[in-house]
Amino acid sequence: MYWNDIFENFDFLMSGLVVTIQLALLAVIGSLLCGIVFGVLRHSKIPVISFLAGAYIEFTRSIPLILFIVFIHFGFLPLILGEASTFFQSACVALIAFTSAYVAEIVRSGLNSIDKGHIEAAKSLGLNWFDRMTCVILPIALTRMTPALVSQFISLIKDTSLASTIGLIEFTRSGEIIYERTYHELEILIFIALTYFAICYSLSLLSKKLESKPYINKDSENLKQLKELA
Amino acid sequence: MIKVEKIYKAYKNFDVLIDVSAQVEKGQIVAVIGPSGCGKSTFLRCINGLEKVSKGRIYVDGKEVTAPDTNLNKIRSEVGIVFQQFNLFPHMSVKENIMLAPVKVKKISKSDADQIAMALLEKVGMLDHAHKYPEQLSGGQAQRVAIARSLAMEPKIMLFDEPTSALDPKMTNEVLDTMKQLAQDGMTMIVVTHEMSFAREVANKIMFFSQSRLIEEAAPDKFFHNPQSEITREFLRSVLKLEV
Repeated sequence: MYWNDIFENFDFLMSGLVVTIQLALLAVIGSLLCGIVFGVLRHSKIPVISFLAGAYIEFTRSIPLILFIVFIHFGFLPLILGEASTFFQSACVALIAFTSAYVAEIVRSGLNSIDKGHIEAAKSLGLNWFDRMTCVILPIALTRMTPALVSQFISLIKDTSLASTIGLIEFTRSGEIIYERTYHELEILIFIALTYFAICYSLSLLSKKLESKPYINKDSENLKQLKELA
Repeated sequence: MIKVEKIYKAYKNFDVLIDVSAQVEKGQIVAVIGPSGCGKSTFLRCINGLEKVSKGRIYVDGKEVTAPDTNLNKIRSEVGIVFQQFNLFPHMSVKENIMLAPVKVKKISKSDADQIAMALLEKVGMLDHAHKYPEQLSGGQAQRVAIARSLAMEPKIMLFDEPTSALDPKMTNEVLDTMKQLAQDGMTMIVVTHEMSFAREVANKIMFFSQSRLIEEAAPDKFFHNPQSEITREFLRSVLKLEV
């Protein structure tokens, strides 16, 4: 076995991992924000808005991500910007555009799950649409959507490896570059796989923890008593 | 204070309200009673625009609720409503539930809203529970918090939609006591209820609905002892076993 390959190229692999993490973080934040907006629009009672958001979501979900990345890098972004975009920019835009469609569907189902009584209570207090959404409906929905969202973001982290197809040297591609030179694929691939696993599995554990969090005050006496018992 | 002019409400082929006209004066306490499915809850929900009428007009404090260009949020901030299912926001503590609307709608400062919330919680006897979350409360406690939440907007009118129907007798009394106190303070109230004793003791007007129509309006004494309509008599006989 040639485990030494990993240590000899550790800095290079880590620079790839940093790119992957940066890309994933930006894409998670971007697709969460865009997904919430698209999900709320899709949920809208105004037929035109709901239809347009629905069309975007269905279209995006029916196209392979790899096509999306290539199309955005070689077609869409150069057209919009008037010049070539960097690999990182293209990958980021593609991942956000792609994942936000899935997030939008999760948000929509979360919004549908809200008890009508809570919406009526918020309306009855005189809250306008924006305040109802941001203070009441979305916070309740987001808590319920956490498991589905985390699972979507785990997919997103793995999907960042597809950015290597347009030439971005992220984690997977950095490994490829090494074994293309050394021909010792196995060790590098195992290392890369275990690293992805460590990141994704810890997210999954975090999600389970968030899921079981009840709506109780951290300072509340109940919890104090529980701590004393423990 | 409230004027309802010939309202109709229909869902698809079913008439929920037919030709209902009524008037409620300032400080009046109106109990709305009638068999299930008679339209009394819908009547109440039309007053703050949660349901849209098919025909007719409703005025609250001189402003028309049913006008197409009306600012419903403004009217709703002046008309409190308490629901059968409490509908407290589960992600906020008791105090935050009460502070939300004053801060967001009335734009008052958080510290002022905090004081208002604490004063109201004291009034409904829930001061010790300010930091709890709704799921930690009993039904009666939750309903009293819901009342405090509505009162925080200093409404001119309070609507109650079967506020005690989801509660056991002990909790029902807690909530009714809070409502009686509110009545003594001079609040204008419309209460949809099955609590005949509350209607009799506290209300100064009874509105009786049956089969989508407002059948009879009268003072409690007259309503319970000398009802004018045969439908009312039938209802009182079957529900209260009254000899009328």
